[in-house]
Amino acid sequence: MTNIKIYKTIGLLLVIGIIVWFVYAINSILMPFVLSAVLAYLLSPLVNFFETKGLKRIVSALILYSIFLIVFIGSCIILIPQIFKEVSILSNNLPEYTSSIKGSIYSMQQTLEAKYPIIKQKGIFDSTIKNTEQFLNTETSRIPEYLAAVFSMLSIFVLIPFITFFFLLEGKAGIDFVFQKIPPRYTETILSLICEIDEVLGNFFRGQFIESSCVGVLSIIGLLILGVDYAVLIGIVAGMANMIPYLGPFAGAIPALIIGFIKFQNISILIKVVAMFSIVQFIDNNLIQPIILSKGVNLHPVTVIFAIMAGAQVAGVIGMFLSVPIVCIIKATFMILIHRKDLI
Amino acid sequence: MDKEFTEKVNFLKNIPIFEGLSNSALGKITGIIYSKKYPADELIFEEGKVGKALFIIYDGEVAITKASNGAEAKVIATHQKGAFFGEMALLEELPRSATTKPPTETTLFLIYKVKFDWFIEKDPRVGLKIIHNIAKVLSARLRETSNFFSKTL
Repeated sequence: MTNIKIYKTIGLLLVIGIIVWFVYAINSILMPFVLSAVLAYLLSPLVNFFETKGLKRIVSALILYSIFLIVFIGSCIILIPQIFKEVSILSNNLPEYTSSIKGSIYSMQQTLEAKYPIIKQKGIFDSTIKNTEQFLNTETSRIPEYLAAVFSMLSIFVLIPFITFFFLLEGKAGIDFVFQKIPPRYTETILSLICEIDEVLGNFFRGQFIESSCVGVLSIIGLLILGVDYAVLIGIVAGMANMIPYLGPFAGAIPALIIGFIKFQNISILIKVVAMFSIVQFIDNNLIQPIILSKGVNLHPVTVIFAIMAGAQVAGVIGMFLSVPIVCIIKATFMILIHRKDLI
Repeated sequence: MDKEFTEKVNFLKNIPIFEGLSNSALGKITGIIYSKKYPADELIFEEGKVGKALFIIYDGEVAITKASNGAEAKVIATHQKGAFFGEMALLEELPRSATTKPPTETTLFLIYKVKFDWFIEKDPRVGLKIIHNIAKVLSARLRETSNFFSKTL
């Protein structure tokens, strides 16, 4: 390796290091930008569709935004009253639920202590109830903090459509600019990277979106049939959680199990809810996924789980959502740069 | 209607592999095309390297060169605006059979295989028409080569 090559490599590593450090330093403000980039990426095929009809990109983006605005307002008119109704009923019923849970726990305590006296001797129930009460009291006192966090989230959601619009408008021009600047001899390699990453990411994101919507709708139907309260709210959560591979379906079922148990106060509802979510997952795995080919990311399950945990560690819930696509990008890049050296 | 878009569609209309396609289909093809400006004498692709893209000359010209038996590479053909090359890369991933360089500054349109495959999957009717046109071009080139060899025998 010549000296110039060594200097170039050191320079490149330094630049990458500085970029990584900078991204880490500003990670707290990155979320709206990352979410906007993902949204712009998801929406770009629709803008491209209008563009291939001969419309300018800005006109295409404005048409798309108008359509989304109409759909959004329509959905709000239909869904928001239902969600607000469910949330207000939930908050009104919370004290009743708390005493009802206490009652159930107390009767369970009586039964178990009568059957197994050792539980009473060791004071297991008393200490558990005391710890739970302490935990609930602490968490309840922090509700104003949570509300403040929700408001800051809302401001992000106002910001996201604006940033997304500019990403949609300028994203393609940005890629074209980079494409023009790369040395011609690397054109085919860079084009391979752009197209293959686009293929993998496009399949992943669009597939996940369709799949999660289906899971959400099926969960709502299932919960309504079982008579579990707040079916729409829980169904939306289950649909969104389903975007996290492997762990999502479990996370989605937990609220349904809790609310179902509170309402019906028996074990059979837990079995019914688990059965319902299993059926939804069965339909998802055997009918929905094969049709939309969403999980065609060809990653080993252990890699996916590791990526999700690492994503959670680095960037919380957003990290969990984005970890798999990031691993897909890394894999596609390595496939081209290492296994297809002949392209370079 | 976007002027740049109309220009692109009118240009593609005259390319043999897009012969017989409607304006709407040509509009869709503009969505999978990348444009790139090459300075004079800059390498476009090299003989022996695996090809994965079709190139269409939008502006300028391209020289095809081939080296044989260790001798210096010779120009075997020159393509002008509207010509295309590397079409076999859309069908199979095999090493390029020649080297190409533009003698002057040239703008090329590139269609990458993955995007082309995706396009065929999305719109099989138009895809079939393009494949049929590519087959016609390859058949004509094979006939030319056979004629050339039969004359040299």
